[in-house]
Amino acid sequence: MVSTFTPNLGFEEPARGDAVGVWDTPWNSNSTILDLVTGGIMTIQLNNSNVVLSVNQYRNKTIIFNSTLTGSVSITFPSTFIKSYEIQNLCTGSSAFTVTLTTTTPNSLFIAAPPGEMINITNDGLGNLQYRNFGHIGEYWDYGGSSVPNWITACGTNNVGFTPQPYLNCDGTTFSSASYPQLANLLGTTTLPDSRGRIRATLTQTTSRITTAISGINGATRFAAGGNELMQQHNHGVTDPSHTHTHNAQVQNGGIVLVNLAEGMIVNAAATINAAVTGISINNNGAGASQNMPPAYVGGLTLIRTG
Amino acid sequence: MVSVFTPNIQLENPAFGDQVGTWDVPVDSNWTILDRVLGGINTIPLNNTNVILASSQYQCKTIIFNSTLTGSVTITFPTSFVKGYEILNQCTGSSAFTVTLTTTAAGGQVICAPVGEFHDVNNTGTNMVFKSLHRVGRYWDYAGSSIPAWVSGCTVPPYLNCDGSTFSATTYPALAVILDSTTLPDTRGRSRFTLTQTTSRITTAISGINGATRFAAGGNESMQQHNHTITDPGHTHVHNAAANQSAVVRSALAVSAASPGAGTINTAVTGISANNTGGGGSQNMPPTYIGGLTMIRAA
Repeated sequence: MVSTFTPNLGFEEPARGDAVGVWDTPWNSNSTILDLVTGGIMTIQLNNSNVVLSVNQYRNKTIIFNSTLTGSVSITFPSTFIKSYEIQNLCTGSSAFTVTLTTTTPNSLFIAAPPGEMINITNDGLGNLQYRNFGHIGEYWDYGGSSVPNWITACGTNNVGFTPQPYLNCDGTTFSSASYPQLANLLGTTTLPDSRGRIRATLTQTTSRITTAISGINGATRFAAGGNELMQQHNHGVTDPSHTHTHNAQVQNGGIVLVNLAEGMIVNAAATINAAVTGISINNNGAGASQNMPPAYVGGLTLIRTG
Repeated sequence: MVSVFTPNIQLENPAFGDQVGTWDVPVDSNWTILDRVLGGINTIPLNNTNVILASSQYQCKTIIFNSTLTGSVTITFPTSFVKGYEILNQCTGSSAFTVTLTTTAAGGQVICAPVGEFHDVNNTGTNMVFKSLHRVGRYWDYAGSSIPAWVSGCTVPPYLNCDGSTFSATTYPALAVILDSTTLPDTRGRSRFTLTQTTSRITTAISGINGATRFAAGGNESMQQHNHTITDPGHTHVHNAAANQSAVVRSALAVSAASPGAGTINTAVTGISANNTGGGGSQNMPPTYIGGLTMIRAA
C-alpha cells in the first residue's frame, strides 16, 4: 500500500504495515514539517527578481524579506500547501517598489507586504491571500504619509486588476459596491467621505452641538460637511445715539439790526447746532461659508479600512 | 492499557505496548489533527440555524462563515478542544444579524464574528475571546452610524461608544485605569485634539478649554461674542451759524448792519460703539465633516 498525505500541510500517513524498518522516513519528514510550520523563520533577500517560494521556504511560519529593492517583486506561494504566515518586509530602497504576495490560482486575491511591519496573512484554501487582524472595515486610518502607500495600490485580483485594495483614500470619490460590498453596506453609499482639508467630528447623536441652522453642518447626518478656514462674513449692529457739538456760533440772521442813536449791543440767541447721525457703519469682515480654523495641524491622509 | 490524550488538541498518546500492529491508527490520527490545527480551513454556510461544530470543523485552523443570514446564529465550540482560530465572517444579509461564537461552558463569555474581516479568536476552554484586537484605550473612528451588532452582541462588548456615559470598572478594569475614570469621553458632535503637552495651543483663558486636561471639552459652533474697535477721527457739520462774537458794535448814528464772521463748529467724537454679536461659550466651528461614531477599545 501507499501512504496518504494530509491535505493542507502534506503530513505523510503510512498505511498499516508499510514503512517497516524505515518508519523514520515519514516520521522525521513530518516532524520537520511540523517544526517549520510552527517555528520556522525564513529570510529571503530581494532585489528586483520575482521569487517562487521553494518547499523549504513556504513551509515556514515566518518569512522575512530584506535587502535593497531595485524594483518591485512578486512572491508566489503554493496553492497546495495551505497555511497562514507571519510576513515581515524589511526591504530598503525606493518606496515605489513593492513586494507582492500571490498564488498562481486564477482570479485569486493578491496582497502586498507593508514595509517595516510584521503582519499576519492567511491563504484561504482557494488561492486567495488575505490580511488578518488588520483593523475593522469602516475604520478611519489617519496616516502620516502624503500619498496612498504603494503597497496598498499594489493589492488586487489576479487576471482582474488592482482591486480590491485594503484601504481607500477618503477623497469623496466613488467606489464599486461589487469590489467593496461590506464597505458599501456600512456607509450606505458608494461615495467615500471627503476628508480632504477637514477635521473629523463625531455624529452629534442625542446632542445638538453641530446644527445646520448655526454652522450649516447637520451634525446628525453622516458625511455632512462645511466650515471654512475664513471667518464667516457677518454684520455688527451699531449704537448711534446722536450727539451735539460745542461751538462758538450764533444764528447768522443776515438782517439789519436796529440800534439806538449812540451805541448798541447785539443780543442774539445762541445758534443751534443740530444733532446728527454720523453715517458710520461697521463693514462686513471676512469671507467664506462658515467659521474659523481652530488650532490644527495637517497630518496627512485619512484612509478607511475596506476589507 | 489505554491511550491518554493531550489536554488541548487531543493528540493520542498510546500506552507502552499498546497498538501493536495498529500503531498507524493513533499516529495517523494525530497527524490529521495537526494538519487541521495548523492548516485546515472549514467553510460553513449559515442561514438562521445554530451550529454545534463537529470535530472535523473545530479542529481546523480557519473557519469561514458564508451564505446569507436570515437570522442571528450561534456557533458552539467544544470545551475539550482548546486552541485559537482564524475566523472569517463573509455572510451577507442584514447587518442586524450576528454570528455568535460560544462554548458549551455555562456562563462562558461569547463574542461575535466581525463582518468581512479575518480575525483571530481564542477558545480558552470556557470563554471565546478576541485576539490581536486593538489596544485597550485606542479610539476607533468608525464610519458607521451605530454600534455594530457584532460589538454589542458580545458578553463584554470590546468597544464602547464615547458618549459621556459611565461604565463598570469591574467589567473594564484596564480601561478604568487608562482613563483614570469610569466616565467615557463625550465625543458627540465634537472633534478630538491631542493633549497640548508642553505647548499652550489650547487654553482655558482663550478658548475655555484646558488643553492640558484630558476630556476637557468646550467650543461652540456659534461665533464667540466679541467686540470691534472703531476709528472715529471726528467730523464737521454744515451749518447756518455765525461766530458768536458777543462784541459791542459801534454803529453810525442812523442804522448799522451786523456782519459777524462765520461760526466755527468744533469737531467731536461720536460716542458710537459696535455692539457685541453672536453667542456661545467659545470659538467657532472649524472645517468639519461628520464621520460617524467614535468608540473606544475597552476589553
